[in-house]
Amino acid sequence: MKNYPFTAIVGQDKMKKALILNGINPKIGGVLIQGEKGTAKSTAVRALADVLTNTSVVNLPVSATEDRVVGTLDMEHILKTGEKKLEPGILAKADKNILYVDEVNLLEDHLVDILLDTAAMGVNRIEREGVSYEHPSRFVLVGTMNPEEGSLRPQLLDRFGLCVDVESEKNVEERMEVVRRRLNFEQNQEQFETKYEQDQNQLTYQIQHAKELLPAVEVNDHLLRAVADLSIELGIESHRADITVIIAAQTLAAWKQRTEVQLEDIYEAAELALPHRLLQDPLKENTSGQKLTELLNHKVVDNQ
Amino acid sequence: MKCLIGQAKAKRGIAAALINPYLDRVCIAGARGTGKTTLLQMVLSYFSKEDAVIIPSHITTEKLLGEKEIALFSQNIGKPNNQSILHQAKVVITDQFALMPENNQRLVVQLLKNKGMSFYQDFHYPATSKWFYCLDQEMQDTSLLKHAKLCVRLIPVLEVSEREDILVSRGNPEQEYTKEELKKAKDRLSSVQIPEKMLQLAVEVVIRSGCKNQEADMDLIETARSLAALDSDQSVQPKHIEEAAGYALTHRMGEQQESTNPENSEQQVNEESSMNSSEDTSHSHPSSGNEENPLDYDGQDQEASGDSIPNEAPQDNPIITEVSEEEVDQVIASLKMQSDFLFSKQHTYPSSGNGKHREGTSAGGNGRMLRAVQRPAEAISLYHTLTAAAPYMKVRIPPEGMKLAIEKEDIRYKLKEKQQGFTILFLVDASRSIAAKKNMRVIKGAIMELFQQAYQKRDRIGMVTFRKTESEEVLSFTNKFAEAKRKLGEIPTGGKTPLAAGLEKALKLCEKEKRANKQGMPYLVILTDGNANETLKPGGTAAQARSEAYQTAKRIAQEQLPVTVIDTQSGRNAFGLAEELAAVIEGEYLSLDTLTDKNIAKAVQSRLHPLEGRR
Repeated sequence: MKNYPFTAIVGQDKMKKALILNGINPKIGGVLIQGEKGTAKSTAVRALADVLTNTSVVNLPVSATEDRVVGTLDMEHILKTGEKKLEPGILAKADKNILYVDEVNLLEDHLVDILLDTAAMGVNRIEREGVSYEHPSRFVLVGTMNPEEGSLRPQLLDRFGLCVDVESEKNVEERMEVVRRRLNFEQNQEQFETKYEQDQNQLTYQIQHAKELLPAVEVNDHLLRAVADLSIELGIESHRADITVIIAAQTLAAWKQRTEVQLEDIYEAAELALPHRLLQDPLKENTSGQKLTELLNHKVVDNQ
Repeated sequence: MKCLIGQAKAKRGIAAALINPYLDRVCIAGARGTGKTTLLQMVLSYFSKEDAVIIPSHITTEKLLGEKEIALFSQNIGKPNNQSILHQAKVVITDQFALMPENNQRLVVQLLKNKGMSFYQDFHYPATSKWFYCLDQEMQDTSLLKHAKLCVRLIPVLEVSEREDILVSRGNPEQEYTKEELKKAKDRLSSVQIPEKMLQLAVEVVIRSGCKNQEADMDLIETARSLAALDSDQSVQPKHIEEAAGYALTHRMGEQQESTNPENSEQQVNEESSMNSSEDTSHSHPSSGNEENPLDYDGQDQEASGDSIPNEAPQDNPIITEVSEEEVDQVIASLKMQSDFLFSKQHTYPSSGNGKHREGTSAGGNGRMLRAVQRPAEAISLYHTLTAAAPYMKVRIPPEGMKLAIEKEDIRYKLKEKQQGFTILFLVDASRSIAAKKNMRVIKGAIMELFQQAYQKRDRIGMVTFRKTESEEVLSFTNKFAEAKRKLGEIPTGGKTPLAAGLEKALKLCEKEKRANKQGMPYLVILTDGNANETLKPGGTAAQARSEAYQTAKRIAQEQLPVTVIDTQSGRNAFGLAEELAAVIEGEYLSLDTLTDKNIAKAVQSRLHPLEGRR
């Protein structure tokens, strides 16, 4: 079964942008996609791997066992030879890849702990059953969730670099187009793929190009100040927020084939990197998102 | 196959799903004894035995994920099988899906949804499998319905004659599908055309139905296409859309109801409001994607779904040239009825919402390993087994092909424990004596702080208030904190103090919770001034009220529930009643006087979380 092409996804531009940015620069720290069911969340994540070179999507099922995730003893080997050998788990496979957690808010607590540990250090340490072993596990964490089904632990929330909300399309014509494309895809996958081949290649090239450009992108102090101001104004405590905004803005600049970050990049990045960090208090009414949008709009107008 | 009389509608739905590879998740809902299992057997008869996988509700997580078959336990030292049970299955059946532990339910759904995505070495999800699961309508958790692309409903036999009339009048006489028929229909499927008008009708029906899931568009169209193929029609007709909506939308409309108002049992009323709310949302995004709209009909969704659209008229379909509001309405009306029916059984079981199937102490094969035990459990701990066998290595002779000799008595199993939050029940005195503004504010502040901490620690909370003559369960155990907060804000105050009734209710809930969730002992926090002046049967004297309260308190003490009593009485005029209550209940006593709300939270949490080291 083939993946639905990334470029054939109708609308959901913000989500696509967030995914592409992570594809260009894994340092952004992943993306959390929040939204209702059926908004092409999973499709987009799976399709992303096709436009990235040397990257695959590794799936972490919410109810996986600890053995499977961190790795365990290779029983077969130990019994046949009497030697200890580690059988790597999902985290080993996720190294340098995208780690995809569907319904991340339902991820079992013991797995969340493992995930937090590993994500913080970029290393998976295995200390169990007489095995001591560690291996790098640097992954781009991509999670999807439907907020109606439960909330995410704040610690894990902060691990996600970017956060986007997706909504189902309300426009009838747009939705018809979604169905039309999907029908075509189901009807003849090869033909559909050929149709989008050029777009896909184009996107792959753009991402590759942005990757090469990225190290050369510069940020001046004036912009760093703008980021700090923004965070203070919004009352964000996390420094990771500032750093993520800067990194995302750099990546955005590279994506737009520039080697210098501009103010608009900062605001565009803030829109993706800050919304989930504003929700420090899960019990407060959700007005902070609007506050962010208003503030950003205001700033953009001011600078024009 | 003819064993199931009637139920033509369900059979048609199943047939539609069988011929269309896209429709791969089917739910069979019905009351007990309406033939769900028989229907599953009918489904099975279409597949060969090797292609079918039947998942029992007690399956282990390892088996689902795929486990290594160790050479030690299998004679054929060949290729070890580490594939999931689902691997290469063409059809997957879960008869009692609702009885499966929650974590495995999720796993099954994720495995079957994210097909073709690898996550473990060479492991791949089944690429073509279809999933059929049954839900008992009387005990169903509505949230389980949403996993299905199609839902067929089995109707009680009483109504068959009536339903048959409907079916006959629609021109669909009851029929059985043979394998050949299905195969032919499957061949026809690819040639079934979908006129633009029908596409539009489908999308509008989905939007108007209030179903938020955009995936429903595709499911509805594909179902309609299957139905057209079954009828040997060249293109999809309105009647197919209408019929398909019954399969693809009804169960999702319930999902909508559930999400707008999860604990509400008055779903009929809710139906209306959910319809309106969906309209509202479309109002609030009137401009989404207008620019790209090639057929400029003002881009107003609500207009599009309301009025007929004259300027777009492909001629594929001679019968109908435009989608009229009437038509959409008609489909919606019939859907509403069906949806009501599907969810109606819930009315009679209002309390069956949560906590039906909970992981037992063994945590359903998942969780963190605590230690190795000899008592057989779900997973073998190889390391501990080997350690146990190690001393005997010199005297035993290993079997052929093995380096080590391990006997049955060496085998150690993993005892696993699942990390779980605590369950905290707040019993809040909302009577007149407490209602003094400042007091209530402090109490609410304290509870809020506890909520907040509980949220971070993944604890579940519930709340009971008592005032006037009775106690009320304001919040059943949940971890939805936004809801808890809202409920807290809405607590009415005033009236007498039926302390005994409050304690009674709290005890009952804690007992229930203890039964349902054997792992965690619920923790009770009582906020009161200790004063009781209303008896269980309203009208008693204050003295009677107090003695009743103390009797209940003694019973709570016998249950050995961990309790904290927080005295809401402020300094000077304290009577020490709450302290007395704390003594009777054998709980801890805290006074609001010395505590700010943050301190209360800390005090409670520090009592709870010394235990934290153990979990």
